[in-house]
Amino acid sequence: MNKELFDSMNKQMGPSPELREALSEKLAQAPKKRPIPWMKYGAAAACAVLAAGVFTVYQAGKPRFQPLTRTVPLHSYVMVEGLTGTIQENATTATGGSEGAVRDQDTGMTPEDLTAAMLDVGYTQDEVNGYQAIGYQMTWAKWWKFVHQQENSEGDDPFNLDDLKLFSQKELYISTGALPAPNTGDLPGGAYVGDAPVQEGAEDYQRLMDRFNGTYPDWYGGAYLDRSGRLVVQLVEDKDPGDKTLELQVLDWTGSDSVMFSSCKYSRAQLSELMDRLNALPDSNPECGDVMAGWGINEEANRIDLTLTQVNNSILVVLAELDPEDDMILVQVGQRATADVGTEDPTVHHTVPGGADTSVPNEDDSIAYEPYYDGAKYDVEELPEKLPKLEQKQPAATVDSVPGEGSADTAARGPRS
Amino acid sequence: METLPLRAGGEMDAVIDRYQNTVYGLALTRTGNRADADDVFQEVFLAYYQCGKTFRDEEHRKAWLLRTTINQSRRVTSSSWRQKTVPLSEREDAPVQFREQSENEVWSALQELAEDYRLPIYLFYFQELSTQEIAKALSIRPGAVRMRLTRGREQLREKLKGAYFDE
Repeated sequence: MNKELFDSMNKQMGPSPELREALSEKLAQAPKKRPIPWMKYGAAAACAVLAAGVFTVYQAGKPRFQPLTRTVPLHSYVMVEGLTGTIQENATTATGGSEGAVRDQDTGMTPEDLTAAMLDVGYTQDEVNGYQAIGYQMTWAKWWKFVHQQENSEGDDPFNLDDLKLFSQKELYISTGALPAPNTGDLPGGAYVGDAPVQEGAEDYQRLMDRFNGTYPDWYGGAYLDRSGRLVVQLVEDKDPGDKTLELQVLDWTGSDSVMFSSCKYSRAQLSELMDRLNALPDSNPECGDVMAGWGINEEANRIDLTLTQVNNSILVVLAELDPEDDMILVQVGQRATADVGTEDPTVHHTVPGGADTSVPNEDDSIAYEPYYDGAKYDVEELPEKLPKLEQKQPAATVDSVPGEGSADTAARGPRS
Repeated sequence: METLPLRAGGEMDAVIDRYQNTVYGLALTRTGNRADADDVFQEVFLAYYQCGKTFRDEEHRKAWLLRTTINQSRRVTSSSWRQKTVPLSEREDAPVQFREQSENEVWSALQELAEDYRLPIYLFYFQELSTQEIAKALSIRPGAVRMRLTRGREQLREKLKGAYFDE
């Protein structure tokens, strides 16, 4: 590059004397230290405060976040698959000792059914004929109870005729064509006939109900007959455990010293109130009513058992509102037990005292329990002269006179679980 | 060379005498007209007078003045007010005039270069700064300074058609 040229140019690129003089004047007037630009800082701070204020006002005026969907509690339920007793994974169970299983329907066995069943387990045709000649009226529930009992026995030949006869003597009555075996009047024959302790417990229960006169006290949670036939009275838990006044009162009322007591969460009055609301549900909410197959108070489990034909969120929401703690109603979803559904009202329901329900083959509860009673008529005053033939069996739901709610018997049960 | 106080504000006349051509020339190269260069010149030395800074050495002071000059030039040329107004005085916006024709041609060619090339060329050939000093003043890497010098020199040679260059 041409250095001389650049040097020459550089010399001409200096400030003019006037500029230099002006600068000297400015420097003479300028303070030694640059003043702090308070105005600038103040303006910036004011802007920041204004922005913060605007943001706050905007946030305050902004509508709160509303979730598009709100969490609606749903009631739990137990899904039961057919009659096999399979409980699906999503099933949740309520309190009580009878949930989560399926009970075979307690229908009477036809001679053909009994023959086939006996041959299946190893009886000979002669043994079958000999047994049927006696005239025992075997039911499916009794049969499976017997099979289960014999399978668990230690004998080499569990299915022998003597054991079957012995079992039948204890559990069944003889269908002679005359009057049925001793009947308590209201009880299904297959369940309670000839069982003296059950009779005593039922009488205790009746005396207790007479005292209540249709109005249940708050401390009363229900009553049922245990396996030995004794009356068990449930007392609501909030009662003072040390106070035995109620127990003594109950014993006094029943006049029995064999009454037992247990505690429960809900009073019978609460269950009845909830039952009334469930009764009104099909009319007020047809969507719910369409899937409600049957419901009833289970005093032993201190809850209401409700059977649904299918489950939907609508009814689960309603049930969750009725039963916020999710332990007052046991909801089971599955098929109804009887095939001939058309012969009965699917929403028939009655109080289920529970207790010594000997009509089941095992300890399990079931939604598939559909009493199928050979007696056809429960009213002792209108007993037929001849028992109907086995082919003329009628479902329990067609009973003319239904025992009052709170009765100790299990005369007529709606589709219950 | 006379030793100047390293604290800003002292011996202002001596400091201005030593660095006035550097500051003004850089401002003139950056802005392209004397009016803006006059403003930059005054602002730089006023800022120096009031900054209260103590420099490590003369190199530090020189680098500070160069950096401040570039910043002030950018502030002046980029202000929206300046961009939207048309100068009333022909003299204020008139091109810088040198005594010789060759000088005017070189200056015109220099002003036609992009800013990225113009400033390194001026600082290197007119102020005779090293690439390290130019890099510090322009806040770029020395390699970038060398690259810009090379490309700027090539463009300048093309514009001047090879004249005024001592190869």
